[in-house]
Amino acid sequence: MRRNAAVKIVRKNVGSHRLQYGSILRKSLKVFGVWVVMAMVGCSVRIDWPEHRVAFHLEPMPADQMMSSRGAVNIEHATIGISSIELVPCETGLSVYDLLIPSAHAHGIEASETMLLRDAPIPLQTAKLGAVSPPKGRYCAVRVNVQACEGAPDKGSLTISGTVDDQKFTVQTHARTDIELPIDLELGSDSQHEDLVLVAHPNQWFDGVDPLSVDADVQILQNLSLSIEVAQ
Amino acid sequence: MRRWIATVAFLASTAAVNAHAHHVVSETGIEWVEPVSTAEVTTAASTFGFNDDFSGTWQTVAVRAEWSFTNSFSASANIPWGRVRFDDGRQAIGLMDVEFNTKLRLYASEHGGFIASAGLGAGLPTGTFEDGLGSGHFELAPFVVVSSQPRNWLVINGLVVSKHGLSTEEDVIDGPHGSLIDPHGDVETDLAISAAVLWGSLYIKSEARQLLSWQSADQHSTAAALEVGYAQPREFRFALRGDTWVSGWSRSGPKVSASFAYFF
Repeated sequence: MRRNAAVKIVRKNVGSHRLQYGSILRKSLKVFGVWVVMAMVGCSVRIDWPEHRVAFHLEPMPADQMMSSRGAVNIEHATIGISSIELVPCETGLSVYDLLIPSAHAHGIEASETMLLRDAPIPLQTAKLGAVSPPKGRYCAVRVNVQACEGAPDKGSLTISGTVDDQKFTVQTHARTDIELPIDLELGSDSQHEDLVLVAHPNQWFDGVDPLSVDADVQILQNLSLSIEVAQ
Repeated sequence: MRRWIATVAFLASTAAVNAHAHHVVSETGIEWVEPVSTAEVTTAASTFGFNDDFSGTWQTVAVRAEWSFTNSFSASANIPWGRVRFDDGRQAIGLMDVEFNTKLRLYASEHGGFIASAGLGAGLPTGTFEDGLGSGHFELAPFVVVSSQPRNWLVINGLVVSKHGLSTEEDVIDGPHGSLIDPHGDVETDLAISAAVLWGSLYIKSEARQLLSWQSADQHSTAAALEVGYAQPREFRFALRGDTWVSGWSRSGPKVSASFAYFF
């Protein structure tokens, strides 16, 4: 009788171990199950997130040597007044509507969606200019408006100071120019974030220009407009 | 065969429970240097401000579970969700990068005066990179962690992690490398040392952390943290913590977090 009781106690202990093992196994399965469920809900939700976002950047290429008609130029300071940057949709044929309204509003696009307005001139260095949230569509150009910014009209559209032929110079202009740069940007139905980099080549700015001449500002602005390209 | 499997599993699971009874450090419930079985929920919040386009706030909730298979080996998973809110109004909510870790106890003195473990962590790019929730790359992170309790009221802990990004996602221009919530370099070494003072079940812990980037000295960062908590040995632990970057690359604003851990 006592022996049977002992056996029962042993069996009871074994049973409690089985219970413990089963409990641990059930717990681990639950934990694993929770992980699986959590992994399955691994999507993200966007709120107030524009469908497309196009960011503009300025990146001046390093200029080893800038040559002018008077000799090598050393730039000490330069600012560019970029008052607006606009994404230009590809032409899909002219309609009466297109003829009657300004181009920025063509195809029913609000200017604020495709046009970035700026109110301060930009130093000649790598910089983020801002971003727009355009509607889907195909865009064939970026239009950069170089003019004195409203926030700092006294700084002009272009100001460059430096030295040439051991003489200091400062060139400043208030002239305005629109630079249209070709791109091929397709914004489809899926959300996209695109970065457009305006790459400037300052080593071309003084080609054939005498920085000390009276009309240097106009020539440099013209060279500047030809020296910018877009990298997508 | 089934009986053998059951026996091995049973011995492994019970050994994991019994082994901890001899080690004082783990008994405090502050640091889990050796393999333990725990489940933990952590919530954290901070700000980010890398430039005008990448600034805002974030909040996270993470569930971490560690399972000790034997007294010297454990595996864990950390599943975080995050909410990123940019200053321009955009928000993204979703899964961040999931992490898996394995940990092997290397050494434990008889009464837990010194414990050392090592392991390997793996980060999966489950968070959406474009939303700032994920790093966009796989990551391997071997680590060594040591702990000592020289006095009944003092626990000292040290951690060395070497983080290796396995593929380089092209950065969003002007944005940080890695996620907005956890920006980092491709290869980094993370050194942390902490000291916790115990007062019954309450404790206060201070931590110093140094992140060394192997790409650029500009990305070195030094951080400090203060944590207060209430721990019931082998049952649960509740902790409130504040982290701040004190020098070098400031990867976020001051961070506050709260966590609850349950031992099973």
